[in-house]
This record gives sequence, C-alpha cells and structure tokens, in this order.
Amino acid sequence: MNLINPQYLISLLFIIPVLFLFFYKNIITAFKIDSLFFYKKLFKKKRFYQSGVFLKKNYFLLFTHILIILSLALAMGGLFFERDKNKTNTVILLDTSASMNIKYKGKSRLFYACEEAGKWINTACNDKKIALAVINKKLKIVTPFLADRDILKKFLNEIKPTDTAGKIFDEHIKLIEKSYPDFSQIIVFTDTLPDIPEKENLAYKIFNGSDGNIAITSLKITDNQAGQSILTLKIRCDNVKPFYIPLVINNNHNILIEKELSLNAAETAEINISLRTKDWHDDIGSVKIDIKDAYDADNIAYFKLNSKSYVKIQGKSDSVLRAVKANSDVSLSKTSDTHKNDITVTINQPGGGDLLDKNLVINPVTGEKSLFVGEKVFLNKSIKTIYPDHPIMKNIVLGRFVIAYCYRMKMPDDAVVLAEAGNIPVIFCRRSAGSKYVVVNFPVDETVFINQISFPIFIANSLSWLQGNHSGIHITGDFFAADFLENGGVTLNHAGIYNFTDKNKKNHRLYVHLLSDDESICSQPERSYRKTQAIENIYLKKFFIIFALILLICESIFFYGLKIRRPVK
Amino acid sequence: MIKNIDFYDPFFLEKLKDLHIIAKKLFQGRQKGKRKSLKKGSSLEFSDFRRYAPGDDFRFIDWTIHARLKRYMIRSFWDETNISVYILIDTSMSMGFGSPSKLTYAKKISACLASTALSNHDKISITGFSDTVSGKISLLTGKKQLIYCFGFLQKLKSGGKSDFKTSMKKISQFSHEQAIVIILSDLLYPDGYKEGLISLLKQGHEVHLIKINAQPEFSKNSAENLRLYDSETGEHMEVFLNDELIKALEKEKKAHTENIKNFCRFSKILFFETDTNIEFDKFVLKYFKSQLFIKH
Repeated sequence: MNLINPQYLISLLFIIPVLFLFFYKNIITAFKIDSLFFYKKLFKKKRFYQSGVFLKKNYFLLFTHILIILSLALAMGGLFFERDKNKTNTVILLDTSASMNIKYKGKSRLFYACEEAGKWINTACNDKKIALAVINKKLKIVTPFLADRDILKKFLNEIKPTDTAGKIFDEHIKLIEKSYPDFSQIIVFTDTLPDIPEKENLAYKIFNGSDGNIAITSLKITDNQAGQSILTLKIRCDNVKPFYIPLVINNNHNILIEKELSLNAAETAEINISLRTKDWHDDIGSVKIDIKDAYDADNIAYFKLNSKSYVKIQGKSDSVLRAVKANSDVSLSKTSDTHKNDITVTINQPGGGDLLDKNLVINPVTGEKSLFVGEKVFLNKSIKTIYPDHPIMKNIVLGRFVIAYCYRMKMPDDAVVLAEAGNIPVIFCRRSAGSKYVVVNFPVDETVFINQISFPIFIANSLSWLQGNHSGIHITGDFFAADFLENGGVTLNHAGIYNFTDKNKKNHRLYVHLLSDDESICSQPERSYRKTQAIENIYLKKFFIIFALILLICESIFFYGLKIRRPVK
Repeated sequence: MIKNIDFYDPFFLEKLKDLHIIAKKLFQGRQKGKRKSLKKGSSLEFSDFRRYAPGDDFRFIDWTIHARLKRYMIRSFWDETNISVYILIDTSMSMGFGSPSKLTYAKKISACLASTALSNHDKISITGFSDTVSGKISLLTGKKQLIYCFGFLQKLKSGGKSDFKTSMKKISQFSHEQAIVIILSDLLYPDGYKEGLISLLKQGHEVHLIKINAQPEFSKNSAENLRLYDSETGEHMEVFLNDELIKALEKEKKAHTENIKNFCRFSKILFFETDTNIEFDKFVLKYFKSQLFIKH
C-alpha cells in the first residue's frame, strides 16, 4: 500500500477503542429463568428486542465504524496505487559520436549526458532494471539489464566519445529489441538525430490508452554544429510503452491563425504575386495565384497561395480582382527596419481602388501603400486537419487551437516568446480581444520525432494555459517560464495534470512534469514525480471521504432511525 | 421433626387458628362438620317449616304454630357437614425460581390453608403436579394430620415441564366429590390454562386460583445482552435487556394477568395474585381477608 502521508495511519488506532467498546458492551450473560413464556410472546410482536438481532446489527455497526475510520485514515494518508512495475526495464542509449565531444563550459556534451544519465539512474525506482548501450556508428551493448546501480554507474563513467559519426537507424532499434527483448523504454542522450528511423513512430505509444506516466525533467532548444535546432528532452517515465527521445527541430516557420474558415467558390482569374521577405527568406519567389481558388465571404477575399495557405484581403473578391487585374503586380514585402516583423502585401496599383484604400497602410517612411497581412492572415488548416492521426488529436477537442502553414508571420508586439531557435520564435503566446492564443511556429506535420513527443506536451501545456489552471513558475507572466540560457536554449518549467474531454465526453488525463535546470528542483525529481502522481489521487481521497460520509448517513438512518439503542451503562 | 420444616412458623399458625376457608357455594359433605350442608339435618340453624308427614320425628313439631293454626308443622334445620379442600401445587421447574422460590411460597400458603382447614374439621388433600401428578396425599382430617401434611410439603420439589391441562384432567378423575380446589401456580403455561380450569369446574368444584409471580434475578437497571435459558424446556433466547424491553415485559405480564382475571370472573373462579417479594404472612392475612376468603 502506497501512502503519501503514512503518518496518518496512526489514526487507525481509533479502531482499538471502538473494538474495546464493542466487545465490552456486548458480553452475553447467561441466565436461567423460570420461563421464556413472556419473551416468546413479546418477540412475536417486536423482534428487534432479541439480542441476536441486536448483535447482528451491532456487528454491522462495528463494521461500518471500522470502515469509516479506515476510509478517513486512507483519505488523510493519501493512498495511491502504483502502476505495474514489471514493465519498466529501461535502456539508456548514449550517443558517443564525435559531436558529443564538443565542449560547453569546459566539459563535453557526453559528460553532461552521462551526468544526466547518472542522475536518472539515482532517482529511478529500485525495482527498475536498467541497461546501458552506446551508439556511434554502430550500436554497442554495454550492460544487460541490471538492478545494481553502482555497477551501472561504473560502466557509465567508462563511456568515452569516439571520432565516428553517429546515426540511429532502424537496424539499431532492431538490435536493441533483439538484445533487450524485455525493454519497455529507451532513453536516448544525444545532441542530434539527423536521420529518423522510419520503422515506428513509437512516440505515439506514450499516450495510447493513457497507460503510462511521463515526466519531462527538462526541455532545451539549442543549435547544433550543422546549424540545426536541437530540442533535448529529458523524460522520466514509468510503465510507458517504448518510445524515443526526440531531438531535431526544423527551421521552418509557420503561422498560427485564429480560426478556420470555410471558403466558397468565386470568380476565375489568374494573377501573379511576387512574394519576398528580407529577414527570414530573402526571396521566396513568385507565386501564381489561381483565381479559381479565390473565395469571398463577409467582404473578405481569399486568394490561394499554395495548397495550404490563403491570403486574405478585405473586400469583395470581384472588387479585389478588378484592382488586381488592373495592375497584376502584388508583392509581399517587409517595409522598414522599424517594423521588422511587419510583413505587408503591397499591391502596386496605379489607378488605385476604392476598396483597397481602406486596407492599405501608408508607410510613414516611404509613403508606400501597404496591405497588412501578419496576424490577419487567416489560413484554413487546423491541427486536426494537419495532424489527424495523432492520438491526442483524436481525443482532444481543440476549439481555439489552430495551426496552419504560411511563410509569413507578423510577430505581434504583445506576444510573449516562449521558445525560439536561432532568434526565430518557435513558440509564443499572446492575448487578443480577451482570448488567449498559443502559437507554434514550426511545421508540425513535417517534423517527426521532435513533434511527436514535444508537440503533445506543448499542447498539454497550452491547453492548461488556455484553461487558466496553470501553476508553474512564471517569468513572462505566462506559465511557460522562458529561461533563456547562454547557449540560446530555453527551459520550460511546468508541472501538472491535464484533463481533457474527448468527443464522447470521456475524461482523459495527461501527466506532464517539467523541471528546470535548477539543481534544487532537479535534485529531487523522484519526489516531484511521486508528488505529481499523488495529485492524481485527490480523486481517491475524495472517494474515501464521500464513502465515509455515506456510511455515516446510512448508519444514522438504519440504526438510530430505528431507535436501536446502543448499550450504554 | 416438625421443627425441621423450614416453613413451619408456630406463631403464625397460631394466628390462623381462628380462621377458616369460606366456600361460596354449599357442598354436600359426608361427615359432620361445621359447615352448612345442602341437606336438612339437625343443626341449630333453622331452615324452614313443612307439613308433618307420618314417620316424622314428632319432637320437631312446632306446637306454637299448631296452637294458632291447628296444623302440624315440622321445623327443619340445616345439616352441618365438613368440606374437602384440594390444594394443588404447581411443582414444575418454573416454580423453583424466585427469591424465595415460588414453590416455597406456595408451600407456605398451602401449609396455612391446610392448618386452617384441619382446624375446622375439613378434609384436606395436597397434590403436586407438573406435567403429571408428582405427589399426592389423600383426604385427611384432624389436626394431627397437619404434621403429615407438612412433611409432604417439605418433600415436594420442583421438576418437570408444565402441562396444566393433562394434570387437571387427571386430578379431576380422582376427586369425585365436590370440593374447594385451591391452585397455586405461576400460570406460565404455553399451552394455556383455560382447559384445565374448565375440567375442574365441570366437576362442580369451587376453584380458587392463586397466581404466584417472581421477579427475575438479573438486574433491571443494566442494559446488557442476556442469554436466557428456559428452566423447563432448556430453550434459550438471546435478548438485549434494556428499559424498553423491561417495560414491554411488564406490559405483557399485566395483559396476561388481566386475561386470567377476566376468565376467572367469567368462570366464577376466585383469583388472587401475589409475588414472592410480598411478605408471606401479609399476603395471607391481608389479601385473603380483603377477598373475604378467610374471615374471623
């Protein structure tokens, strides 16, 4: 029996006086009397005078009393049930490739990885069996599953980096599966994962059936030597199905839009729009817009940019078309250095137009008329559309959470950057018109491992933030504590349990536990993890308290309601 | 020998010397005694006049009437006889309870009755019964028989189950002449008491019923679980004794007594109730007197 506060079990001592009172008051004295004549006559009328009847009820009363005390003791003690511990064999896979030899603050990446692995081993549950393996060009088995932590640490200290390049292929995974048939999870400590094994998207399995607990101890985004952004997650797991640690983030940028729109067919026309930006992509090139795919609704015209995105222009499509046709030269550009993030759609229209005038912004520097897109770019793809097969997506109703593709993004002034990679905002959040939005700025559907792990967690955090029940460490005013590190990484701090309601109104829970690199927190991950697990059992606590109350009420009704007096001398 | 009898109290018996048992109805006794008989006889108590018939004793001719009416009228007198008193003592196991026991209490009453009856030249018979007749002394007369009666009473012990109906039928078989039947019992008969009493009434007996109660020995002030054993049947029953149950029991007992009283009133049976807590001599003097059962 696992208890958060086992000291409350002392309240079980109350059972002793209850038992004493019960047995003391219920001693049966034998008496020989002249005749049971009157008793028999009486008991035909009123049976409950009989001692047997009374004793049975009294035994039941004792039983209910003990149950009440037990329930309250367990409620106060915080009973919780650990999950099956047999499936927690973990393989620690350490990347010993050349890139792990790069030093940071005088120590190699492998040193940090080993240090983290050592911490993890220290804090892992005692019943866990852990195996060590290294990967560079080939996968090498260091130890089989061992329960002895000292031996594991000894082997861990002997691991050294190599000069070869490291990659994880499907073959490696197969070898792990062959070498460790009983493994239930793999934790990879690495700085990069350029090639993703195609065999399985095991990360999905974390949330399949919600049969596992996951605790993420840290999340870092850094650039690697190849210019790629690296997301490093340290994850603590208990009884989850096999998964891999995601590592890579792409440098693609996307825009979160506010809502999904359904578009109607409109006129057919064909124009060329020249798109360019100065900061992120100097010249994207010309894009042909097929007016066949332009739609208008509520005075808003939508022009298809590509298969996934649209440009919205205020005004009826036919009016816009007239204006566009008149010039046929529409460009998206960054207008000035003072508004770095403002990306405008410029329509060079010599003759001008009545509708366009309302939507054009006159650049104070150049006097150029521009049409804002940025935050007003509405795209028609939601997370559900992009990520339809994701288990989280299947289960979660995301009303205000939409993601789509676009190559342009206006960074609102009031937005709070939560994570960035190479000065590019990756995740930011903002409030607008009383609503909260969380923006993810990378292509979710194109990235694989990174998003397969981080994205559901990100969603969980986002939902928590949207629902206003976050309670993490706040720096920027939101629950994502954006702690920018020297190397440009960011650590997200948050812990909590996330309740989701699916379409069938079934409740699901996701356990996320993020810790910062703060030693004071990281030094007690196990305790924090247990604490997180214990929070889950608030329902068990409630159950026990309600159960005790129901028993009390039943006891009052069935015993004292029938005027059965307890023996009181 | 008589001093060894525990209920022998010569001073109290001396008090009872002048008492005698009243019979509400007249009996036709076989021997001369001090009681009025149904028959005309030679006592001093005038009964009636009747015409002289040949063969009558002319000594009983009322010459005063003859002087006035010129008729021969014979003065007749009641005859005096003795009566038989049957004392039936319930000796079932239930009578062995109480402090003093109901049986002892019954014996004391029987001793008084026997003493009184024998003093008045009545015939006395004492019978003990439970489910059958456990002991019996046949009709005795004379004060000298008192010792024998006491000896018999001393030997009576409680035992056996109650079967009032069967016992009364058996007793009525050997009591051919009409008599006063005094029954001393606790009347705790699961099968009922009415049929037994009716069988006695059918014989023409005058039945006096004395119900002896006894309080249970367990404390009434405590609320506790008791396993009560029936002394006669051996059955046991677990009860939770509290004030409520005690009150209910008292109520039940009262109802039972009331039923008996109603039956006795209807059947012209003299009914008396006493308790072993009541002092014996007080009961004999006060209650018998108040019921006009015994008069000076």
